[in-house]
Amino acid sequence: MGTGRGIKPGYYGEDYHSYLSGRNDVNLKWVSQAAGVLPAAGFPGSVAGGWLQAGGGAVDTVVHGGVGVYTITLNDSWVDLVKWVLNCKQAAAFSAAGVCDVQVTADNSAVDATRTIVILCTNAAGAAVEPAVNDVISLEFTFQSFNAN
Amino acid sequence: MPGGIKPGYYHDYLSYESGRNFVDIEFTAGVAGAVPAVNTAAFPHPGAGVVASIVKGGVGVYTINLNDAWVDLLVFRGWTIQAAYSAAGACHVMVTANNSGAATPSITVLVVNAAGAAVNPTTGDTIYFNFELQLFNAN
Repeated sequence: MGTGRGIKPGYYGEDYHSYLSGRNDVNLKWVSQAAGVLPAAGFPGSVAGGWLQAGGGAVDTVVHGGVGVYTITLNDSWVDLVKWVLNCKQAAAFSAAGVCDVQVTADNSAVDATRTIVILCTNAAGAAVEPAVNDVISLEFTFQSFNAN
Repeated sequence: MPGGIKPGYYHDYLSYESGRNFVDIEFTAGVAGAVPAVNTAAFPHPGAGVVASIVKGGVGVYTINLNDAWVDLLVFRGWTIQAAYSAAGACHVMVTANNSGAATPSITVLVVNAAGAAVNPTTGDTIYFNFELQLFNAN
């Protein structure tokens, strides 16, 4: 076994799939209304209501702010936001002027008082843009629940 | 046998025997994308495991030096959280060279703006690297 190949539970250990790794995946998905408005019904609930939330009820609320901006408030704080995969499936034919990328612009998931993540929808040029009606926003966040020993 | 588990490179992903190793690195950039010293609060990676060092190169370029060679780099993902978002700033992270299996193993990445041009992160930008290495090959 070479250097660095041992299994070490904890924050940066390689034993990713161990229950001791403390990783928690949270998935959140919604179907956008006109001008990026969030669906009103069913949160946290089913896809039928325009929402899907998985991950043990980690998300408290999602609030639409400025153009392309959404603030996700968590029910609990975490040691860290480790990684994320954010996508938008445009409802109509793909347009470079539509939502092409979703980025994290602020991570306060470790701050007890706020527990928020802010995301921004951008077009291909990186400019903020509102999702169009029926665009599907899919978010997956991986949080760390405890730190290394 | 369709649906069966075949040991080796592409088998049972969740098994301890799959040989996958996941590496997460997060650091807060200094001036012109400078990498903070290892083991500081701004660089929560011990540096004593898979990664030996991260070296800042040219504009937007980082070389991740590994302690050991691996069969392959399977997946690489990188993100940024800009201190203040700008399309002209550090928007994306891309792999530009995979030498994880070389005698001097390394992975080279490039930070780019929304238009795909190389750019240095600015002070306070947070950079994330997440990648999966394969320890052994199929039988």
